[in-house]
Amino acid sequence: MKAVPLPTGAPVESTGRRQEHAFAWALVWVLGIGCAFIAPALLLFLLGKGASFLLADERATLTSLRWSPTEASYGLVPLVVGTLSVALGGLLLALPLGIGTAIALHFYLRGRLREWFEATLGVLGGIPSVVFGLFGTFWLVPRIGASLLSGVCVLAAMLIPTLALLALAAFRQLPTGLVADGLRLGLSREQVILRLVLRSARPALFGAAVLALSRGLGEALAVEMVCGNVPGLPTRLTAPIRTLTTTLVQEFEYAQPLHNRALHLVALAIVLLAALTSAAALRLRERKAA
Amino acid sequence: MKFAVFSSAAFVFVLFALMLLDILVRGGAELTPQYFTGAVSDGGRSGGIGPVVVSTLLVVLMATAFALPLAVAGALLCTELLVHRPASRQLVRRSFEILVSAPSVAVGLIGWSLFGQVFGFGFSLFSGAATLAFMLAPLMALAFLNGLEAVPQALRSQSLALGLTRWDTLVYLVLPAARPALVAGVMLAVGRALAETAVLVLTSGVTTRMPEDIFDPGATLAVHVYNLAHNVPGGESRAYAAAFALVVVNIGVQLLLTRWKPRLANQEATS
Repeated sequence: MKAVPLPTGAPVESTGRRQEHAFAWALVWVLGIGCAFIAPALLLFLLGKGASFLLADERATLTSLRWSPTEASYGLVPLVVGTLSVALGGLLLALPLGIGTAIALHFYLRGRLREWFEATLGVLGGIPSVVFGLFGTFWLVPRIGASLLSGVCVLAAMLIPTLALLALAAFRQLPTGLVADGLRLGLSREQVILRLVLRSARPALFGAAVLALSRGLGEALAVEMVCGNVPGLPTRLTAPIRTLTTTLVQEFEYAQPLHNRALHLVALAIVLLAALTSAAALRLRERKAA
Repeated sequence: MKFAVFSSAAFVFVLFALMLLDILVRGGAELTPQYFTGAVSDGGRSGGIGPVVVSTLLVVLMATAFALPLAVAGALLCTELLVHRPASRQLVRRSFEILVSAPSVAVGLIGWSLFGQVFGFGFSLFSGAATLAFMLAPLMALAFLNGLEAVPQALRSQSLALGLTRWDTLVYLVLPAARPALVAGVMLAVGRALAETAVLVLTSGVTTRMPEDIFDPGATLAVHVYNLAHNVPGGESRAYAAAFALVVVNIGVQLLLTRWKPRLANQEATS
């Protein structure tokens, strides 16, 4: 029997039948490239509209401390500060709770109980953010007012399941013998977790935190429902604030052309903030892999 | 240490249990069979959510249908067409990842500008679905991509060696082998569409009239929860009822997804 040579490199096929499916492949090419170009196209649209605001005289007000489109003042500073403070606050509150929960599940629970809690966490991670906004509206706002603090609490609740799940994934990635070796060396369980586990998992945990931060920066309605939406620099935890995202939701419908362009600039600022944090997370992941 | 982590875990689970219990008790009390089909009256303070259910189904169905061909083609572009060009493949994948993690409210504003103003649809189910499709296409494409990459390369080369064309290999062997991943990807997109609010508040609006065609505005369930809780004074109990329906549907989708996942893992292990 004669040996049939195996195809190497590019697949071998008869040219006659290739023609038959030329149209189908062309369609895959066109639609596929279309799909890949959605992100750049949307970014260009945002850039074009946002940049056209920079041609107007009002561009000088962008760095001012006042966002008041009716008075032709488009200061982005209070909005950026509001966004950063609510997202960072939410992250700081969620981080210890999320990682603490993951440690409790991974290192102190066993068997079915642990499986059950992990599954529950997965389901909680899928709760729509608007539901957290609802609890913020009816649990928090009547007690502590529509404020930065309410926004922080709502974001924290939203981020905890995600953070805990990511932390669990990070713990699972650790070398299998790490805990056992540490215990055999005479360290207590507590020392193993504090000195070995948290230290080795630090890059992954940091990546999880940055991912959560970028979600917090981009969240719109859950924050809008509880934060009060008064533009200004937050001076107290109980002061109402306004963020980049909530400004869009509040003003998009009635914006006049110039204001509308300013809103596209606001959207661009959100995208850039989120992209910067994601890029940082990606860099960290790659550095860890290398 | 042990005390600290256990108390944080206990705090987290008690908090979420209280939330779900609150929804169950206060939302469940409002639910009757007529609630799901009745018209919305008095701005949502009474009546049912019939039009909202219709709008939700239309938006989710249309958005998934718009995004599906793009997502399949986007995934195939990476796994079948750019096989020998890892650099471009990486670029395409990065483009999907960027959009998946992009803040949805920014996409919503673009949708409002583009479909609402430039094309003149205003608030409409069509604008909502089309804008949502921008977000669902890369999400599904990434899920499909991971599924297609898990199909062993040997399956493709064996089939090609037997004389099948690349197209037949794809349609009769590769896609069926990746089916669980394809189904999971669609479920993921449906879950995301059901939970989405920011995009839809800006594109399909908060109106709760029964839509007569796809160019009418209409609130989806998640948007209805937002509107009742935030904009309708006295809408509290009905907001809980709508949230109950939303959470049940979402957890249902989640559970279906987790049921698919083990099968996916099995398949990767056996193939």
